[in-house]
Amino acid sequence: MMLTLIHIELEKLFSRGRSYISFFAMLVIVLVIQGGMMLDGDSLIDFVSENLQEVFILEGNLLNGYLITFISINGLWIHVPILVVIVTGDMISGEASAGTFRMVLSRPVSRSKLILAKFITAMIYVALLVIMLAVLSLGLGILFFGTGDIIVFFESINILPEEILMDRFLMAFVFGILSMWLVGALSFVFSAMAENSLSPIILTMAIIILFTVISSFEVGIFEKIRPYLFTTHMNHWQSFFDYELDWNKIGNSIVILIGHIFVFLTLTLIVFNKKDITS
Amino acid sequence: MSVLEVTGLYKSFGEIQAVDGLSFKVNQGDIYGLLGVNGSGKSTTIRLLLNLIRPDAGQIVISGKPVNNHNLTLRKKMGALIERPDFYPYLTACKNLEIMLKYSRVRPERARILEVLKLVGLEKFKDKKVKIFSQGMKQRLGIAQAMIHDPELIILDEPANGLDPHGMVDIRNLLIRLNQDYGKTIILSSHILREIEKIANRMLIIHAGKAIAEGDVQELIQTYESSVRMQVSDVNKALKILKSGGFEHVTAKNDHEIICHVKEHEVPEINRILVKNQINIMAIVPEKNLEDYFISLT
Repeated sequence: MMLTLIHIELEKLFSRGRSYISFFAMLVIVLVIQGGMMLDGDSLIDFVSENLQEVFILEGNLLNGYLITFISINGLWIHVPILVVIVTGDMISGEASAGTFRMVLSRPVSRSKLILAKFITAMIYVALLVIMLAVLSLGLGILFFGTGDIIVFFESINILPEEILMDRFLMAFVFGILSMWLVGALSFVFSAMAENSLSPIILTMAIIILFTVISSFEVGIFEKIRPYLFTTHMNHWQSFFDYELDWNKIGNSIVILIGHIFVFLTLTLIVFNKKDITS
Repeated sequence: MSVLEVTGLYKSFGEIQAVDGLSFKVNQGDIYGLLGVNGSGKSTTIRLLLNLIRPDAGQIVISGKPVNNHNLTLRKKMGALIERPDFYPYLTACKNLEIMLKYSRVRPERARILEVLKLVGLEKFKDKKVKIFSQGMKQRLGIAQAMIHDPELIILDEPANGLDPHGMVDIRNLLIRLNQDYGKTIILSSHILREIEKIANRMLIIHAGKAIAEGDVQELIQTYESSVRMQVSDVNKALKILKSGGFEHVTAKNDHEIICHVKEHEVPEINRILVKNQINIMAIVPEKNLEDYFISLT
């Protein structure tokens, strides 16, 4: 029955035009970034590397596909959650507001299994979205700009050789999928509570923005609560671009993200199982 | 043999008591009418029967088994249309029914889907997306999805909503056919009193969540309801005499007619009193129907 339910959910999801909006938006964003870099990337590289060139001798193809992918995902991780919740936030509340739950739940369908099927479908959708981001940004980047080493600045300057970069990007994108699953799981909680499509989207984004702001302030009380916020750990995709991988830090974040996903899914199941279908 | 048995059912939403101690029984082969004005608790009762909402108290037993989260297979025996017929608008009529069959754990055979679409008069629109359907077409499709998996008990909440007069007759005939030819037990809610009167053999009248009357439709009409229009020579005198004789539910309809809401056996008595008091009676017209009965009760 579970497979049937997942199949139905996938069929419903991919029969709707709005499910493709996020893919289309992703394509446009990546193309705009790559086009912009094609037109004016060199001056950006000159500006960024100006100080470095006083200390280092920089040679080779600095404006390469890997760098552009890195720049793309740096900005896109802020926007991808919006593209995710547009669809995942609507998966439960959309049916509540459309009234279709009345038909579905008057049949021999377990509420828990229905939610699990929707959740798995949402996770497949999110994974496809991030895979598309990876394929587009890496594929087009390498196609248009070639490959090369990259220099990244976080807590220190890291110069990463070309040979390890594909693996690092793949790991970062897999971590990105996990982060976006968490966003989807959070939107599911609100989606199970709401009777309209908009509230879960707004509430999920409000929490992500609030937590991101708190995560980025390095003062007082914020400093103490930062390690407990899931947004702090969502940002740890950047750890894959440290020269030496800190698996303790990465592993810790993975456990925390999976823990949050589990908690949000459990909350969704509790809320939905107790919910009166009145719409 | 009872298919459905409801005992002491209660459900409130905040301070609103939507269902207030309902008890009733539906027998196999019944067309059972749930009659009530809008907001009387009919739809809430149906949602409770389908376990879409949980009762505060009371028990619902279908085919000898209690309705709860664990008895999923019980729902295979039921098909329902609750309030509006809402579908996935971006899918075709066929695809919507196919999905409903899958949810019902029944192999989605196209022949069955087409057979049901033909029964409700939508075979020409089988491959059209539901978003282009009129309200009446959606209502027909709603009835189709309620019967697509061949349930024993069909529960329809206001099935005549949005249908034109021809559509209402078609659906009425379809329900009678399903009941008589296929042996389906049908629970039908409506605020259209004549629909219940025409189709149901038993009924429950609900008002403010409470059962007001229950039983055989014809018996209820015979026993309780008798509305008689009388054309008399002196309306004012007739009203005065009848009210002093204890007939309180007598009103003037116009300058020549009075309406008496009385039990059937009281009509000859009224006639006798009026004649005895030298009031000429030009006509006695029985206006017996469920509507009058219903209004008198609610």
